[in-house]
Amino acid sequence: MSQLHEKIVSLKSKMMSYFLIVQNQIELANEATLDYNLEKAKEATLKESRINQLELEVDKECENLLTLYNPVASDLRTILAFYEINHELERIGDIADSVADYILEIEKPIDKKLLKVCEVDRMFKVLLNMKEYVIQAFENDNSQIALDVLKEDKKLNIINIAASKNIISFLKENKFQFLEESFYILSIIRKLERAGDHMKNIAEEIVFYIDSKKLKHKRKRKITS
Amino acid sequence: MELLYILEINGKQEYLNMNSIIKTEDLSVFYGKKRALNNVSMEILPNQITALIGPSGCGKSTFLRVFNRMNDFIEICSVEGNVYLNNENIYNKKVEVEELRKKVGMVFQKPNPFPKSIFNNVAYGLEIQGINDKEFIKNRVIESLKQSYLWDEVKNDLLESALSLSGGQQQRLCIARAIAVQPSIILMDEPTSALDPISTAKIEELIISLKKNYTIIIVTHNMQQASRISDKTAYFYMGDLIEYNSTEKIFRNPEKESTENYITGRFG
Repeated sequence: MSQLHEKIVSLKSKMMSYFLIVQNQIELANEATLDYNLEKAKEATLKESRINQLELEVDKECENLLTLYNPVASDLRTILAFYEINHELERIGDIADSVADYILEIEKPIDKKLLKVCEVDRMFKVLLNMKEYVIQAFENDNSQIALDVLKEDKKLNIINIAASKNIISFLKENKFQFLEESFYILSIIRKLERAGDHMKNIAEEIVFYIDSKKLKHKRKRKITS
Repeated sequence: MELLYILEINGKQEYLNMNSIIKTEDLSVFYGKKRALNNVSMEILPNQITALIGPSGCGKSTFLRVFNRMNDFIEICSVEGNVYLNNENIYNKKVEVEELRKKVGMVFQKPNPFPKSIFNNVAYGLEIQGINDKEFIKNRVIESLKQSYLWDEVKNDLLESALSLSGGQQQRLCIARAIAVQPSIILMDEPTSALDPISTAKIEELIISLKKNYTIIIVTHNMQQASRISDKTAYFYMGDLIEYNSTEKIFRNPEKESTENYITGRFG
């Protein structure tokens, strides 16, 4: 194995642990939101500094590989994709951190009926499924699994689009009793939808480095190499 | 020899019909019984830089030397198949090798100026062609030195020995000598492998500027050089032409696994 390939393998292993930390942060944000678990919320926010540090480390390693080894073809695609995935992961981490922050701010459990109406539990499930798929796709260099992430993202978009109407109906039914919580929930839904977009971007990067196909901005167009 | 050529412009593929300047058909070259090139068929377009890459002994230099019949100097070397330059088979018995070499110039790995003045080095090719017009020769020497990005550095020392120049300057002088006789094709066999990075950058800049007027075929072991300067790249392995494609395609996403393994340093 050449020196460059050893470095890529080592960087990939670092990124695997990065994926797992971000996954854990989403799980913590999930439990904090659905169970109003403040301990989990605090734990989620504490992960943030480690994630930021990892982002800087991966950035530096990618820049070094590009500068010192002049990679081409699949090596170049892999490093470019790792560089992008790095930033997408950090943004997902930011989102989990923000969700945990909202829970710490609310100071009371969110009404279970409100959570159910807005399908927040389902959003977390879909998001964690997406995370599972991208980790599998990344670990095994499997672009087919990565493509499954794109289908999942549509589910999040549908929930997000319906959220405003659902919340207004809920508020009307309950005589605007849960106004403050509703604002928080709407913000959380928007954040989770955005996290799904970042997950989709990661899946696209995985397809790019494995199959040399660009999926970005090609929703309705044919995939080209 | 019309070649359907595919250009990618703004993401769209445009199909152009262009005439190739060089074409080989089932070209095989032997050194004694050893086959150095194996049925290579390839077309090269005019005013492009074509890079030949591959591990040592893959046949790329042998392939390069086919085009000005440099292999004729090797007694045990024999050639099978056809090699066309502007539709003329250059291995046809009627072809005069000296005439061919006026059309196909060559620059070697190590700068090889003659032990003559800078001026006489560039004028040499014209003089041996029997050109006596001193004004014509002078103008052509100046023009060639300018085209080779050497004029500003040597214009006050034209009568100095070429051997007093640095390695990079000597190589540019060799390029000036090659273009003075106005060939249509310039062959370059690792022209920068003996040069420092600054001289290499100057030669690369020069090669790119020359493609306006010449077709350039370059053998290089430097993958970055091939990717920086060439329009098309041909990858050879053990005498076979494995892949020939646009340089962008070769270095972004080659079609053959063997090409990918070579350019990414997995072997070779």
